[in-house]
Amino acid sequence: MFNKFDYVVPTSWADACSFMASHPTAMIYAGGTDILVRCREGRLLPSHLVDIKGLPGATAIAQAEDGSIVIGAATPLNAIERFLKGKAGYEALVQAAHVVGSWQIRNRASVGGNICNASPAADTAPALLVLEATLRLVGPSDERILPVGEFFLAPGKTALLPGEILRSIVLPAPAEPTVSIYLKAARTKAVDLAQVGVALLMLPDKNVRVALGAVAPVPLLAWSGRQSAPPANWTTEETERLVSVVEQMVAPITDLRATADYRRHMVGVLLRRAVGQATLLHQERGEGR
Amino acid sequence: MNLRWIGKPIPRQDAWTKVTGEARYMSDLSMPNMLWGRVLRSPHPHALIKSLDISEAVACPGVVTVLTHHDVPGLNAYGIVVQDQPVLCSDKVRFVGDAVAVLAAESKEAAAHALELIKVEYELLPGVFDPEVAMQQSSPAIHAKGNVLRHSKVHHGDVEAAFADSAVVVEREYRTSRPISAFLETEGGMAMFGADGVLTVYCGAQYPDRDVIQVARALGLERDKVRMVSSLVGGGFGGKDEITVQIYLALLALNTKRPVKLVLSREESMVTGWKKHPMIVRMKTGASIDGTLLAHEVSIISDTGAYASLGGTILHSAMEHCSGPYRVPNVKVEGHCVYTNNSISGAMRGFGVNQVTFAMETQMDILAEELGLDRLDIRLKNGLKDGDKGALGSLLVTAMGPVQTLQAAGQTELWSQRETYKAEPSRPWKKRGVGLAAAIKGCGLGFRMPDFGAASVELLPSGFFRVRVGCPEIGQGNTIAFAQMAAEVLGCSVDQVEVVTGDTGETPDSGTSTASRSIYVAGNAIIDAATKVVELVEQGISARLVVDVEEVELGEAEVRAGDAILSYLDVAALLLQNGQTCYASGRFDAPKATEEVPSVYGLPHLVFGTNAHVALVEVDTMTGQVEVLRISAVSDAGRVINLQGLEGQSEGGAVMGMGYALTEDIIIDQGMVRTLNFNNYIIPTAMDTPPISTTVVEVVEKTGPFGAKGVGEVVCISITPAITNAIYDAVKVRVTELPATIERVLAGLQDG
Ligand SMILES: Cc1cc2nc3c(=O)[nH]c(=O)nc-3n(C[C@H](O)[C@H](O)[C@H](O)COP(=O)(O)OP(=O)(O)OC[C@H]3O[C@@H](n4cnc5c(N)ncnc54)[C@H](O)[C@@H]3O)c2cc1C
Repeated sequence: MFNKFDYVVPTSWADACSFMASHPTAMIYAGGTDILVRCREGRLLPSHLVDIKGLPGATAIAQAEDGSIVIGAATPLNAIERFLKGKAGYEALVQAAHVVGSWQIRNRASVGGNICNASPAADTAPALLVLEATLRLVGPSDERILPVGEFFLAPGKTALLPGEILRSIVLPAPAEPTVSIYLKAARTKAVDLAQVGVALLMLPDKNVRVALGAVAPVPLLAWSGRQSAPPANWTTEETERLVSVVEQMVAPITDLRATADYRRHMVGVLLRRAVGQATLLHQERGEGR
Repeated sequence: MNLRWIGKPIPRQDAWTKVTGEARYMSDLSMPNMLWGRVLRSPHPHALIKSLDISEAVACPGVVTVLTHHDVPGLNAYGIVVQDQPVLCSDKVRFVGDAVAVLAAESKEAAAHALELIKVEYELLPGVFDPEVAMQQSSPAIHAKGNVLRHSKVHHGDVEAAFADSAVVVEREYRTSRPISAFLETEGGMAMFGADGVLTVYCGAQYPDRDVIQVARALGLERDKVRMVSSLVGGGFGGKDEITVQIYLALLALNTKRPVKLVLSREESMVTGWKKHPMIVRMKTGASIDGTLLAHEVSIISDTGAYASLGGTILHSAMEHCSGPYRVPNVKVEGHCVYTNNSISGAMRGFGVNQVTFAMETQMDILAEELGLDRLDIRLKNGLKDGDKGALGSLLVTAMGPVQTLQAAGQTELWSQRETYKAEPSRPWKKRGVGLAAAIKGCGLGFRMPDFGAASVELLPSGFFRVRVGCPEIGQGNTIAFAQMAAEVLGCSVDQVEVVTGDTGETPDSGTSTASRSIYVAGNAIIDAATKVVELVEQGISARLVVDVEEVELGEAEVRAGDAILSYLDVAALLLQNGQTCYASGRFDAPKATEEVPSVYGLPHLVFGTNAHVALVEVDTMTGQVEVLRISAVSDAGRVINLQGLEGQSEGGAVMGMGYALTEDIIIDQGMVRTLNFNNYIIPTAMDTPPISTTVVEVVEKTGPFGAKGVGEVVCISITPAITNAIYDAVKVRVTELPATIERVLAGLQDG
């Protein structure tokens, strides 16, 4: 059963922000695939839903002159997948966008909604973490840029201040040849949330980043740093060292989707597989050059 | 037999309207001045009701009526076999979801709000959730008569001696899960009074004529003052066999004299809907060195939840099928059906046979392995044939299909080329396996219950024929099969036939759309009626046009009478305008076995359908994930009436049985249902569904319409053990507990 709410369509980001600031019980409405489910369950009782999809740039995705990619917060996941497909380095986000829900869901579900909803299992979050995305947050009086790593505070809780809206997400241009991978464990091949999500990014200079979903209260950047070998000369010992470091970071829970033990187990399994896929991609690209 | 329509893959008549959305669910109906109903349900699994105060809810704006047990004018109970489920609880609640009050309000919102204002004081009682605990004398009694609803034993032959003679004896315990139908349309509908004073309830259901009896009994009305309409139901699968919301709709309409609509939310449906019985099945099976089955000892404990419904009958069905499709000369089987404070179990596609077949088909694979025999050979050697005795010692006399079906399964490419299919897994850490299993399932209601079909056929003024049958269309496609059978007898084209089902005001009582029976019984009744109508038309035309009866022939689009050719419109005009009746009713009484099995009420069945499945799976040895890559189904439906319909049943059944094998389970914790929606009640998605091919074996049943048997249930049974046996073939993990979830398979891999 839905509570009664007003549907609001602002015409500028500034209007949207000041409306949000003056209506503490209003909520931003993008694809609605999280918010409507929760409203129906009576877990959210917004007084207003403020639809941002029509605001300038809200559903736009484009490459800037410096090579970075700017994604409007309300851009649906299918559009993101289409745009980024084949662009080296962004594999993790393409793969993460692709495994959310179903085709129909991905036509509505936005990347902004996925992270603002702040579920620990949000599929795009680990990908954005390893890609070092930055978030453009606009408020009633000013705006700020926040690294995505500082965005998630607790389940369902983000660093957004009252009246603040996520306007866009910026993905810096990755150094060539970067490779990234996102792997998800779930009970079915579609329409299930992640039991565990693992994103991995390997830079050419031995730098590696690993981010995890559904194994801690927030999506987690579990590792970012130099390894002793670049992707091309990667060894099993290197993988195992990475796995044992990353495994230290997790604090999973047991729920109906998976037990804590299974989640812990799957972090290692998926990370090893991600490393395997990433090094293979690296080699293929190296040979192709 | 030269058949024009039978066996052809003719598209169903409702396909177009369903695809375009023109077809309406019962719960889509809407009327001016309509009220919204809601049910207040117990939050406790076992409690006494100390007090019930509706005054605030009654006073709430928009609320029109609030009803409790005081307001049930007739029998405050329902149940197909035993009426032990209160319409509205008076003194005690027995499961989370038990109904305590119903109300109707001007809007959904007002109804929801008023529900919160009803005050019920409960005194909590200790709950019983484990059926083996419930059986103990010391356990709290859920019903006054104790917690054992049914206890039955059958022993034929000499099991002890046969075990002593066996070269190998396999003994295992199996535990099965609690899936739910998860039909597209939840329980719901509308009720209203007509100008004629008849109360009509529109509600998806599998036996409207019996619903009339149950509704009238609860409301204290004459049966002819109640009409039930069920058509184009969004799925039944057994879950709409028993009463769902019909009585609540009727009570509210009776009290308000306004149209009332009530539709359960998915969560409410998950909590209160009928589930498949979880069973603990202990099996001990002995065989000789060549694999001949000698002895079988089985114990079944079935958790029926808070109320009886069909629990006893389902236990008996499980007992009857406890040796699967195989012949065992010495069998001892004991069953208990037990009340618990878990939510209610009832009919669900397979009727107790899925559970025992999963166990038996696992036993067969273990026996084959221990004896070093081929998995197909051991099955063929023991496959039931006409003249054999079934598990309860009764004689099987007609159209037994296991051997032919298994032979065809052995010839499928998937089985014969299995080593090739298994050779190259998609990843080094994955392993493939192929599994085989077969099942039989009795068609119809067994020995005691009246098992009849009734239908009428009439020529309409438009020149079309109308067929009326009680058995509702519940999505399975019996309507088109009915039309084909009528057209085959009448001689006209299928397009000339309109079929009406499932409306007690319009259609003759033809029994349930359950038990794989509607084609068999209603089909025969249609043949009877259509044959009479052909005679009426022939005689009528012969008299009118003064030609020999032999010279009148009904054709696809026209009727030949001597040298004259008439359209059906002309025929209708000629006959009906002259007062000639072109209407006939037909009847069929299903034949019964000659003897009842002593000590298990209502058995045996006479006619059985058979199915076999071959499944290819790939198991991820590091994650426990099981992927079903391919399924070959072999279906013995007797003569196939509609090939497309059969394939639809076969594919849908395979996916349902695959969900049972791998993921589907209503999880109840201390009486609380935790899987409230499809986020955690996991059904295979289209992406999880492999290519499924169906081969048809026609072991023709002489008493069936054109030789048909029933397939609605048997198509979903053997796929489950075919998958679990394939898992063993792949990774040597023996699945004895359903579902074989990712984590259970992984645990098996880590143990092994
Ligand atoms: C059937 C189904 C399957 C699903 N499967 C998955 C899955 O596999 N993986 C997964 O990660 N998720 C899944 N989801 C959840 C959901 O689809 C995603 O999280 C989706 O990305 C949410 O985006 P949205 O645009 O629909 O968000 P909305 O529902 O519109 O909003 C979500 C939340 O974010 C806030 N919000 C949205 N945009 C902004 C903004 N720009 N600034 C500030 N706040 C904002 C809203 O106020 C709300 O609190 C599934 C959902 C459904 C219904």
